[in-house]
Amino acid sequence: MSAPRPPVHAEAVPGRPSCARWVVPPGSLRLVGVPERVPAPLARLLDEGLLVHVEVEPAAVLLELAPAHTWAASGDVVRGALQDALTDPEGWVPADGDDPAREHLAAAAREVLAGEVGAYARSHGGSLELVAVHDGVVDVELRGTCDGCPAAGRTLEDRVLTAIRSLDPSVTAVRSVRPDAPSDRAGGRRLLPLVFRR
Amino acid sequence: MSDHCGPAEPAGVAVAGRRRIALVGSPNSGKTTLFNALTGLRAKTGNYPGVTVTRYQGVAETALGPVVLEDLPGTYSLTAISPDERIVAGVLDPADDSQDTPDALILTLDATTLRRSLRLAAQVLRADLPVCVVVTFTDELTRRQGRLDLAALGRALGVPVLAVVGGRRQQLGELRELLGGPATWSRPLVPPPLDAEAVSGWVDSVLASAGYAAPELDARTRRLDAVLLHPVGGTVVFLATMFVFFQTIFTLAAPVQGLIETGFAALGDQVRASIGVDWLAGLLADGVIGGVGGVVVFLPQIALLFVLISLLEGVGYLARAAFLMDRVMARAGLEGRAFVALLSSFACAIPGIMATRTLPSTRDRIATMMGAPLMTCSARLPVYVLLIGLLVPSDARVGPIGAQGLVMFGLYLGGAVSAMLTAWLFSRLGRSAGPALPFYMEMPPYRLPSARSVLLAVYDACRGFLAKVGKIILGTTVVLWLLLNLPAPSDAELARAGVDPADSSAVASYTIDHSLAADVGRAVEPVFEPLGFDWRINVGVLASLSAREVFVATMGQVAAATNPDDPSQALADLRVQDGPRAGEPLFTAPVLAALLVFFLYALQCMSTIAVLRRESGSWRWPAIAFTYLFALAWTMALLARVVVGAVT
Ligand SMILES: Nc1nc2c(ncn2[C@@H]2O[C@H](COP(=O)(O)OP(=O)(O)OP(=O)(O)O)[C@@H](O)[C@H]2O)c(=O)[nH]1
Ligand SMILES: [Mg+2]
Repeated sequence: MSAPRPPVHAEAVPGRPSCARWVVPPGSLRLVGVPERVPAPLARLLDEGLLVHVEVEPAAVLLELAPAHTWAASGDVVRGALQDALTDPEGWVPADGDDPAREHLAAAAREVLAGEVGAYARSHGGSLELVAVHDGVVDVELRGTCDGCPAAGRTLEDRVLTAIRSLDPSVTAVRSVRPDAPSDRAGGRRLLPLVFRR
Repeated sequence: MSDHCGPAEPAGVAVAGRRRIALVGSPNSGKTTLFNALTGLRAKTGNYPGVTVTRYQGVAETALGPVVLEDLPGTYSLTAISPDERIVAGVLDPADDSQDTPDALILTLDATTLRRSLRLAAQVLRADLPVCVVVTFTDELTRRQGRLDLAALGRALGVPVLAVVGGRRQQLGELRELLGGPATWSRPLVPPPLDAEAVSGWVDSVLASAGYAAPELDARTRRLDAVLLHPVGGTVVFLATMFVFFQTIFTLAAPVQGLIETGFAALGDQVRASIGVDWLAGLLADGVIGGVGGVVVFLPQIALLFVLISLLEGVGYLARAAFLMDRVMARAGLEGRAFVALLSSFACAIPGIMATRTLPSTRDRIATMMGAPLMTCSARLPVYVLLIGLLVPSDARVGPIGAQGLVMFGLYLGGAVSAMLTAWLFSRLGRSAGPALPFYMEMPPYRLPSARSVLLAVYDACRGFLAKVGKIILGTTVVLWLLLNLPAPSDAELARAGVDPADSSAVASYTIDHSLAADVGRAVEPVFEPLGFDWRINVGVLASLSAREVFVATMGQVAAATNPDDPSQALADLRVQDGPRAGEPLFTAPVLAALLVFFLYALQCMSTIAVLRRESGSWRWPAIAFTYLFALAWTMALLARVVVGAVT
């Protein structure tokens, strides 16, 4: 293996002790969800029964270990296999061929809006909702006090953009759209708006 | 060992049955600061790597009762090379039966050097122990425009993470809460990797996740280093600082010293006047007050010295001095860190010898140990001040500069140069012992030490000095008084010698002259005669083998017995009693010079010998050190006497 191994580390997944969320460099994979096929090093571990589940998230790969094994004992083996698999992005085949890159970006955007940046908007009495993703552009709707506050708009867009970029470097812009604004979604697909209150 | 600068061994707290939590982390990451804050103790801290070289224990209160906290030396890795690092590796290794493995670890991570600190974290997190991370220096990270998301770092590491800046009390609550129950701490799901390349990847990934932005270079540090790390500029600044300091030893401290002196003189008079029993009055006034008081008067100088030392250590200068000296030392086959050990010996040779534990090579360690006793320790200070006071009038000047301070500066410089030459020589002799390892020492940014930490260091040093006076020096002084006053002459004997028994001062002189101590002093006269020492100086020199200050105490007793009204004048007036120089003043310039030089070189400190034995593992090196230093002291003293005799 001549290519340098990409940096990774594992984090725990609350409530799922057999799962490890392996944080991988942003942009190393362009798909989300359960892949149809994974590169040989990982596939082998699935075949051997060490791993039972692989799922891709923005800038992370969720791996589930078979019940008989522990991460403490198998961590080094899995890490090596994952790193090798990451050097072969083509080997990760998404389950349905719709538009994996766009879904990756949408997932990244959702994660950001559900996370700290969304919390920031909510703490100011507003909310941010994902409207559409197309050609690297993310459209976000500002609601509540955010709406009609032009000063907030710019900084908020920047924050969202930076946060999304840390998960998916392919993002080129974040635009805020008004609820009443004429639809400007040529080529874009209307996504289910997310409601952030839990 | 009751030396005030004595080695600090693991404190004897009751450990049995209590939970033990050890502090690990890179050097200079604030472990001891945190340890002190949690335990209320006052272990030594300083702004350079390698302050702590041994294990310390203390008790910390937590939410669930007390736990034993253990401070360890700093280390960059658990694959240790130097003895201080090996201590950490040994403590963390469950297979090492010689040390109990702690129940949990606190890992300190310096936020300003997080990338490097995480490499150690990777190793520590693989140990099968609960770990809690305390991030330090977040204040400095913010000041220098760095960034770190603690919550994200906690998720990435998989263990509890919290920040404590400089052991601040307000930030300790959460930590105390945690320390109560290490069993509940989250443990990393997947242990970090082992091999070096994989660790780098892990560190990169963790840092990216934690949104880490490394701090910018400290502008203040860069500007200061432009001067202080310059081979010429740095040396000039260092020498100038020392120079000014030795002037203050005489100008600033002298008036205070005078006050204490007057106080003791008054006390002595009071005792003589109010105690009817002659021998008891003599013991108290001449022995205890004259001897011990004679040493205590140097407290102001000791305090000043430790202000300087704690400032040098606190601002981060020591690491620079090591860097500056590394080139010089390298030529001597030693590394810069050896110079840190030598500089630490300015306080006392013992911490200096202990500091050699940071040196990976045994050969360097022994060589530095042999040099350390030559650095002018604080115990020499009273001796120097006393003798310089006799040698040079206080108003003598060389141009605008006080001559007393100049001589003192020369003595310190002489000690330092001799120490380095000695270390060089011994490292030459041991050449075959192993290859020189590369020198690596991190240079911390300059930091302003808090007034509190400086004051505490000075206070501790003064207290230690007084404790030493109260124990070793008081003890030897009382013994000496007995030796100087026994056997008591009978009236018949006095009559035979033509001494009037009513003249107390004449009787005192006669008694001392025919005392046991005098016999001893005269017995060794052949050895010291070439140096111009008479039996009284010999007694002082022999007594000072226990601790150097005892010399001052002895001279104080002799003086108090001969002229109780003005002991300082009494010393200057002492005359040689017998031999070819009989009747001449005893403390002539050549003799004083010889004495000063003798004290510069001789190894007169039992504590140092004991520590040399412990740190080198055998009696061989302390024996060698004592012998060669005595030979050197004698030869150089003779040389000084001849040279000064020729020019005066
Ligand atoms: N600004 C700042 N200074 C700190 C902090 N923690 C410690 N210091 C200072 O950093 C220096 C080093 O602290 P120590 O506690 O001696 O470090 P250590 O980890 O014990 O060092 P070694 O014993 O050499 O391994 C001291 O001068 C402390 O006052 C912090 O959080 N912020
Ligand atoms: Mg320390």
